[in-house]
Amino acid sequence: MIVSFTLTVEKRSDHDVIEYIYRQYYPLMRYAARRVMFRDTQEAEDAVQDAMIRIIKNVGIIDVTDKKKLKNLCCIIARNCALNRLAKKDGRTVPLSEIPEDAADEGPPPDQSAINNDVFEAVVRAIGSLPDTYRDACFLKYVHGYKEKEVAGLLGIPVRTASTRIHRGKRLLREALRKEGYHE
Amino acid sequence: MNKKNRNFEDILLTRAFEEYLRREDEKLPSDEELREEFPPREEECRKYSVMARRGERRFSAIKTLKWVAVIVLAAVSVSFAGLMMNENVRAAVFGVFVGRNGNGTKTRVSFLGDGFFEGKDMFDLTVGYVPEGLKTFELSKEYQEQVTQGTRLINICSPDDPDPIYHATAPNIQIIIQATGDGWDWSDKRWEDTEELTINGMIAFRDRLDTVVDGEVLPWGRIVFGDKNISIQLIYLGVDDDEVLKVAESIR
Repeated sequence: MIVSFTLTVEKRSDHDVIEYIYRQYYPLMRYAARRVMFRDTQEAEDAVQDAMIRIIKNVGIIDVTDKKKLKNLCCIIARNCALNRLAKKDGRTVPLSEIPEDAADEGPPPDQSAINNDVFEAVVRAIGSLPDTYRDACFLKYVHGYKEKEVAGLLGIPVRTASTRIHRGKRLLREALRKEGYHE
Repeated sequence: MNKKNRNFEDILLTRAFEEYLRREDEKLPSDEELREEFPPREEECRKYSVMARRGERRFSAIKTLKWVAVIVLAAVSVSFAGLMMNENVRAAVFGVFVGRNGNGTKTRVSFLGDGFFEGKDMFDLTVGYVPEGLKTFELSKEYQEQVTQGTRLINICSPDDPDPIYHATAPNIQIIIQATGDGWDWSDKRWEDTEELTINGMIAFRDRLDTVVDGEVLPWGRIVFGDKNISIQLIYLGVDDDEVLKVAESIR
């Protein structure tokens, strides 16, 4: 089934794509959700269900030809659905207000000649230090190439929130680099 | 940050995120391990498939509806355009245009109806009826062509008082004929009591206006009618409405 699907994936209808995503990436989504939910298996299962519904709603903009990206996308959506559930359960929201508004926003541009392996490694490390919500929004923007409206649709958040997460994610990266002595 | 640096930063971020993704992938359990721990369930798969099918059907229905709407709209447009090719239909639809300004006064009227005066030069028209005691005065065609450019003026008034209508106090009818059905701009908003008439099958309007001069009420009236070729306006003072109507109907 999967082999035949991959051969003719572009001609397949939405329900074929959904079946494929479920069969192929359900275990990964379940794993990503559980990492957020820890021992609450029922909530993790519900988060995956949320994720599948979100994928069904947005199936038109999902690129199924790049398996690596598709895998990452499923993981991001499942993780965000789990985070949303967790936030609702705890009665808290994503703490955007905890991030200072003026942090490293208007710093000087990166010196292109100074970009070397050290800098690149520092950026990768900084990405690792980002909160999941910001990192995922930035992933969808920079790796998947989605517009902010599409990011919002995939994460189930308002467009303005998606835009803020991307913007603040970048700002946090700059701040992290500055702390390591780069981006000066 | 300028655009160039911003683009550079975006490229750097994209590469860094990809590299991060690659490293994270390596840390993930293998597909087999994940599949063993969280095996997909066939009934769940069917459930999502059914949901997707519903979405497809809804999308397909919307798409079909859109096409139907486009086809219906195109059909209506083509039918309407086809009907408008017919001169009779066109005349019925655009028999007359009447524009109105904010206070309800007519400001413009165009006669596009079919041609009672078709093939006639405005200087060929004759006035067949003149009220008793009045006489027709008109400047030569050559003079009018030179001076009025597209407008013919005929004055019907007392032989003893041949003043132009705007200076007259005695009975007077001024006939203004234009070689166009484009109509009249009624910039004088004082006209009131408008009524619709028919003159020789053409749509017409009659307005009235009372002015007071030296304590005396002067009843003015105006009849406008025409077809797509010629528009005619009769402005009158101190002449009976029915008499003026007969004058209008006698213009051939």
